[in-house]
Amino acid sequence: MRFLYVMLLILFGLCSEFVYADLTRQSGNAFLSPEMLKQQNDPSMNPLSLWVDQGQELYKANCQECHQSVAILSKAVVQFPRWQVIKPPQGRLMNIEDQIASCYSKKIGKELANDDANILSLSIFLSDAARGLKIHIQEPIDPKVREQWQSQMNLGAQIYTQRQGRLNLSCTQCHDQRIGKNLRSEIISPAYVTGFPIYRQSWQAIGSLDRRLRACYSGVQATVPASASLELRALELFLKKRSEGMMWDGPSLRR
Amino acid sequence: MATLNLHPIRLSIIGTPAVGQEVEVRVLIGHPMETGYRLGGDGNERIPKNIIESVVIKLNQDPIMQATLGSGIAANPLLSIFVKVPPQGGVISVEWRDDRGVQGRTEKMIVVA
Repeated sequence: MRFLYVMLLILFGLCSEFVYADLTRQSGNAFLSPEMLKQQNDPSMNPLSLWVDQGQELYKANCQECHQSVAILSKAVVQFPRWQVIKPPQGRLMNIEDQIASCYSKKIGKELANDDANILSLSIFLSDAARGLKIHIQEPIDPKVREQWQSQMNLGAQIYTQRQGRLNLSCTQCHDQRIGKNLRSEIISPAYVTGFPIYRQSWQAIGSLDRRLRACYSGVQATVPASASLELRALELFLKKRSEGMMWDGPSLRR
Repeated sequence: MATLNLHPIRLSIIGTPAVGQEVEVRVLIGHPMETGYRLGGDGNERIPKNIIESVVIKLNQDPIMQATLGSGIAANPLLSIFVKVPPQGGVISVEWRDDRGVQGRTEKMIVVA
């Protein structure tokens, strides 16, 4: 009986990508309590809806002139982080907030940090519009750039598997090896990044993946890297590539 | 209308309004609700207090709810009340004011089905 069950599972896994995705690669939403899920899915109760509105107004006021189609613009959400050449041949990895900040700062003529409320609002608005798209991180075509990109990807993978902090834990020990088990009152979810920015109730505020990752560092009592540092972008690239092909959930509510 | 960038507000009416029936009115207010007890920056200074003090919900200009909020309420408060739909429907409006005198308001029609 058990043999049959295992065989069936394997068969399903082989036949259908959909079943495969469902069994092994779950979004963080699958680990929310029913109450949280209900609040997240109801815009009248989800605080994120305030910033979706906010972002839409900012978009209309400042971005629409150039980026006329939200549908096209929001595709960027599932394609970043990207290697952007700033001054050839120098370049760096930029995530979606970096990109919005650099573009928006030019438009309004004032330098804004990538955790500024306006930048986050725009990011939330785009993330909301990107719901249902599939995460797709492309390798750069230029071989020289690809080499640098790959080295960042490797750095990300290295950070993910490296033990660190006073707790001496690596990401993979919980987010690969202990999925579904309890960490105090929380259930450990696999580290797929399918819905950012988030509204985190313990922050009582919105925050990007950058901030979420810094919170992970402080969780294992490691030295917290500065916002927008190279290692955070490398880790973000690795995590997003790891979630390749998964559906984008839009901005999410977390504890 | 949302006040751009500072304190967004969202008013939702849940349920189909029918005369004599109740509908749920939900209000989400974007506000930090800073208690004044938290330490910020390098951990030596208190983050100044900033709390919504009063929220008034009116139906056709008549106050139907007045609330005094305090530092025990979380950021971005969500308030919910049940309202009996009057014969001709009407306008629900929300006004709030915080301890720095900042105010916000929004309104929405209740259209009887």
